[in-house]
Amino acid sequence: MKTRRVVITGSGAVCALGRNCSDLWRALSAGKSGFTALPRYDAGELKFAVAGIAEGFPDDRVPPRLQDLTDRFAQFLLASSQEAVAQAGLAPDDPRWENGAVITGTSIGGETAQDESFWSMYRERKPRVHPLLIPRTMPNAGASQLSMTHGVQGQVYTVSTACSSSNHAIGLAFMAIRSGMCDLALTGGSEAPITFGFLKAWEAMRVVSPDTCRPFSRDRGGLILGEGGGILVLESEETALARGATILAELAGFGMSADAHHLTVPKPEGAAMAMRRALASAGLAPEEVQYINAHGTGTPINDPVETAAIRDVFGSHAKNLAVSSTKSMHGHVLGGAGAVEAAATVLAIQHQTAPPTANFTEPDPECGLDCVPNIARPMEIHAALSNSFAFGGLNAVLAFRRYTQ
Amino acid sequence: MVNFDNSGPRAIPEPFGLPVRLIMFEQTAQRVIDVIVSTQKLDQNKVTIDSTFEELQIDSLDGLNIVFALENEFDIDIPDDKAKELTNVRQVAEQINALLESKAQPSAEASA
Repeated sequence: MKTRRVVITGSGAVCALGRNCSDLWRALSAGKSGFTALPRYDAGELKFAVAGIAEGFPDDRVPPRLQDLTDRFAQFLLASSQEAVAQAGLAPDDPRWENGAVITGTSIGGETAQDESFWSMYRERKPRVHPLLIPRTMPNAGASQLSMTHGVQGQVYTVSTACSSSNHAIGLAFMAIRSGMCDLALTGGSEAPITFGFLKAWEAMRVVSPDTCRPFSRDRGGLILGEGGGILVLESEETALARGATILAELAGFGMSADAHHLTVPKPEGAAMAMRRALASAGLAPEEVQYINAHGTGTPINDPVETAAIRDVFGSHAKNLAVSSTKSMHGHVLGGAGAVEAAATVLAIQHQTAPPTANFTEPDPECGLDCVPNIARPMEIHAALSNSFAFGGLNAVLAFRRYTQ
Repeated sequence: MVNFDNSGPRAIPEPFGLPVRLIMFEQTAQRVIDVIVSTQKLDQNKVTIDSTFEELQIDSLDGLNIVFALENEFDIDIPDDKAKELTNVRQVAEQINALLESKAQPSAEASA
């Protein structure tokens, strides 16, 4: 049986680097970090000063009425979906919406709404919380808003696998189309983690850098948190071609694995297994891949483990790979990371340019791959992987390919 | 002239009885209208004491928001069964006035 191919025809993203894919690419290709100062909180001090904050958001793509109904994490999805659907040129009356899919990922859902409400109750002794706290907080709030906005009546749901959430979501949408369950999907994910209680929780894990994010550098000091999200429009190749759509790239494969090992310590064998499965799913030989958008958090432990996993999968070809971490620029968007990085990887394929790892200072012998330090590199990108590895040992890897008929 | 302030509900001075209650109703109604206008982001002129929720396109979810805002505005608790009955602005103002009065006279409420 001939396998159905899945293509990407629209992409939208919001993060610290911009509120659309053009701005995202401008910053990525310039190797420009988007970190800005965190607000001062009356509640206490933080041991880190910056984050990847989406300035100027929400914008007019989220009207006041919808701002009332939703938390910031869902607003990222609403805005991204509008950009993606407009780029794809999808008509509101496209018959494929009815059985279409919306599959999104988030790690914590409406944390901002919850934190504000509980603060007012615990601290300010307010006798009641906002009546929309439940529907604002629920992790599926964004998926439900996309369903209502675009009239999607097929499989609509949200997955939560910490920092792999978006890659799992996109992978599931890919499988839904590949298997013939549907022909059209909006998929991605988002996170709105910039809230005092949650920042303190990350501080307590001692993995956040005090200054900036330097993945693969010898002097890397941890991750920088970021907010945002992204949405891809996926279509079956057949229906995309039939309507004359412009295809940005092919989503060629998806692999997932679990370390079955430790709550927070990653295991190279688990990451390697997910990459191998993604390659197999895409029918790609390791030598056909030129670029990897790494998980690349910039923590002391992630980067060497990821490097070891890549060496294990790619063998002698590993040295030919460009392996960059765009988290050095937009920050770690947690449950939305895979979605923002999918947008970045599609842009890399479209522009045939590997985005760099910003803030790089000096090589670490434990991370000896080519991380495209500081300067974007025009190069042939036929196929690319995008890695996401999560606390709890859950790994999800997407394989992208330049589209040719 | 009765001197009103907007700092919150007050006990009704006995000697004035009915007239003060009428004036207080007007005042309550205006505050209710202001809350609905700001919660629903409506045009100030569109909301009157005779507006119905249907006319204002206020659905059940909006109703929850309005009740929450009214509880904060008047520092009262609107019980679930009372909240469910509200379908127009006049009814809301009347209900709130009744709650303010029973709050101002807790002993009367307790013996009722």
